[in-house]
Amino acid sequence: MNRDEFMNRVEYLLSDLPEEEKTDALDYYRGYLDEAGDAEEEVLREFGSPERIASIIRSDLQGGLADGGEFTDTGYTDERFKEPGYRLARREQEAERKTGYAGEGSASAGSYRTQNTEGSGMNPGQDTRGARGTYQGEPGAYNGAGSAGGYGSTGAAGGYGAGGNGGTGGYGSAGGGAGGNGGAGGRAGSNLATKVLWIILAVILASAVLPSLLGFAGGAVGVLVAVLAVLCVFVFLTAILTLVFLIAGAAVIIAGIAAAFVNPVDGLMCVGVGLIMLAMGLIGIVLSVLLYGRFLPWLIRGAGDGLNSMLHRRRRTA
Amino acid sequence: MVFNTGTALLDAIVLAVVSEDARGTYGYKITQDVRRAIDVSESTLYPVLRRLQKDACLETYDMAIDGRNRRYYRITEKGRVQLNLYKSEWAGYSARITRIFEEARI
Repeated sequence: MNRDEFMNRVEYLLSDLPEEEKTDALDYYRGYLDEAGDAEEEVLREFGSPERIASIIRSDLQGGLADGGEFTDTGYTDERFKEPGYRLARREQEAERKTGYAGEGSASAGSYRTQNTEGSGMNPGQDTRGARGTYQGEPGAYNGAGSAGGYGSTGAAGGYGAGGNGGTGGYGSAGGGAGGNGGAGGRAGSNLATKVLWIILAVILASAVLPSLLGFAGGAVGVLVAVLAVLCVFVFLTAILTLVFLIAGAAVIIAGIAAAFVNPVDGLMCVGVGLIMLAMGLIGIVLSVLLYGRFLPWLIRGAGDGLNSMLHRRRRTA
Repeated sequence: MVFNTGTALLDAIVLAVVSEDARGTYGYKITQDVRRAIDVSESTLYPVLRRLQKDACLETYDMAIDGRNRRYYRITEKGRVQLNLYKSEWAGYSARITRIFEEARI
């Protein structure tokens, strides 16, 4: 890491500080490196990590230096700023981030949680939106569909392929019947999906009960293995279910749009059902993200971009 | 090493170092000078200087050197009073400790 990268990182880590405090500190350390001249590299090495410098700057603002610092014959030492035994400083920093500001780490955690609650409340929300669409035929309802579809970028691709037939059928003169069929199929699909969901839930429950029985028989090891297995199955199933819901939802919506040309009420109802399914798919995504954890920021960003392009594409075709 | 002291002594040393030059001195030089006595790391003094400045024991001014800005620290009247207090405290403290050690039978 060169000097500029180092200082930029420090600046980033201090982004929440008042401007004056931040500039003052950054000026000091930048100036320090200037003065060091040829020894710059050595000084940088002694600085350690940007995180360390950032926490030193912070400690001063919170008056933490007086509590934590110790001055010995070998020098001034602060347990928190020691590079090897650095854990303490880190922990303090993290605690700060959690309580104080939207730092990089907590930002993801925070948005995570809100996303999750949104996700659980999404079902009724999406429902009303679908209903509104039914009565007023608002473009907003389609926007909703677009955004919902946008999240399932991979799932939606499959959904398009499946729903494509219904769509063209609806546009064509003879496609009335075909569109209606598509809608019916979509509804049947959703029934099937719920059935599958119940079966899967039953399997999960059964496998949750089984290990405890095994555990009584086989001891703690059996329970552990079984719990792990259940976890794996759960993680896997969540992804599969999410995909199923997204694909089915997209297909039902497209079928519904096609059907709407023949029978608007039926078609819009179909779209509503599709929206609900997509919403479930979304909840699935949130769950998957929770499960797969690390991909979260990347996923949200990617989903946001996909959403945008998807929205525009939808508008153009509509 | 075995002897620990709070930040007061570090404050005192920094004040002493800064007071050496009436025109004031700058962060890098202060650090190097303090390092003559104790082994502080290159990065440690910023909070100390900042605190002393906030307590009005030090004041700062900027001066252009080689086309860039250099921040100078200068001791204030309050800083001098504080440094005097530290000096006399240290003289008494170290004298008492030294006497105890000299009286010890090993």
